[in-house]
Amino acid sequence: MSFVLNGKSNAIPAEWADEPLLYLLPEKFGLVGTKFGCGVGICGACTVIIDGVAQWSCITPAASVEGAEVRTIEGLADADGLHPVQQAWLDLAVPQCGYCQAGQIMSAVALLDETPNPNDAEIDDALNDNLCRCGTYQRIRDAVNRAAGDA
Amino acid sequence: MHRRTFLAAASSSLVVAVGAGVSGCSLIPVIPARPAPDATTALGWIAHRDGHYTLTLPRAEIGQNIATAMKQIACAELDVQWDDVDVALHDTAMPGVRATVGSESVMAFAEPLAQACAALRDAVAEGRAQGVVTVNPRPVSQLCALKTGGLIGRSPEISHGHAIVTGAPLYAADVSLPGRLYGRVLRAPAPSEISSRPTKWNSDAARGVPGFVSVVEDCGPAIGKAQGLGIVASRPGALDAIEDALQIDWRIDSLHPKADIPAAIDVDTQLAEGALPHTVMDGSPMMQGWDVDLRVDIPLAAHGPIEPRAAVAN
Repeated sequence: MSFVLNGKSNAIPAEWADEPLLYLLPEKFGLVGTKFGCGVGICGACTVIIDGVAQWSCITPAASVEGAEVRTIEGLADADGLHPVQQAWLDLAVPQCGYCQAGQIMSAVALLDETPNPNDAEIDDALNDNLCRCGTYQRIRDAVNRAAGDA
Repeated sequence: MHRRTFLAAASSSLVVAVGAGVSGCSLIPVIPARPAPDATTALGWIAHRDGHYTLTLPRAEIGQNIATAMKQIACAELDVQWDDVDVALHDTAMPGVRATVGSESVMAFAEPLAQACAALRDAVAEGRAQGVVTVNPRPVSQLCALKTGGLIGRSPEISHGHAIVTGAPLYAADVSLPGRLYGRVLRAPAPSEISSRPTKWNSDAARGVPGFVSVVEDCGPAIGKAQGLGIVASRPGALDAIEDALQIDWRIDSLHPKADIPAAIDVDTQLAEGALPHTVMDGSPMMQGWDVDLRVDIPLAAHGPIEPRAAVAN
């Protein structure tokens, strides 16, 4: 079994095939940006992009991403700098404690890939399942709008 | 780390000890009392080495952005650029760090930090490169960082912002140790206010789960009156399978006196009854019937799921 993780092909260890993708990322690939929040697909802290779709990695078995392209927060920036969504997050000082922000950003990236110029209702709908205990929602919406303008 | 040891460790750079006479030390503590920042706890917050400054946060950063606020104060008082100061989170070697509670970080720590930075600025200007700078507190009116119109309203880059948006910060749950095991304490499906404990379980079935390590009967104190049963696995996903395989029998001593609460607060059932009385209750809700006026939907346990609760033991 293998999958593409942030542009590079990787094997899925057989003994980890039944584990949630969330645990595979740090334990086998050293990627700690995707967070455990609730473990049951409620809070969105573990959001990654699988074949272009934002999904909860805590309820995604590792084996189910065989052959898929998985993108995590670590795979957004490139040699030219931050992804426009990351830069917008910085420009508007979105993060507070930061724990949920990787999931928020990945949901925003998936939204903008699908809908380059979303309205506020579409932003709210796309990020409805990403909870932020610090309450940064207003800045998140503003940052998505800014990223859409910059893209 | 003792103060003398810290001084020795820091001797190759210019560090600051804040005098006990700093006015921030005399602030009335919020109950419960906790150590106020004093000369010992303030030691080494700010250091200068090879033209660069390191600010070691005297408080835990838990999302209140105290790192950014303290860095603002340091940069303003040192009269240096944002990138000239690195912020380091303290480790457990820093003695007597005050607990991060009470929304009082800036109130309690701003002036001691500004005093330290002012003294360090003067020492660097005098050409000193090593040793400890002892602070002789100056009037607040002479502190650049605390002048009216200085910092309030500015929007600096969040201290850890770049790290956060790239997924770099390590939270407790992200710490990985060689050979790490995963554990969970199982408790009876009952409120913790009533006594409960495990009486029987199938260890043989649990051992058959790949990744099983052990069942721990002595797994710490009860939560309330609920005694648990610990399970340990070599991979996190095995915990659910072990829990299922154990098929634990729980002894639950008695029903809670208000065991009917779930039915009483079943809003949908209440609303399905049609017209609501909207009575004004007089007295404790516990002494009379429930009155449902409206339903408000919020994300399920909005705070609960996102709260990172983790500990790593070595």
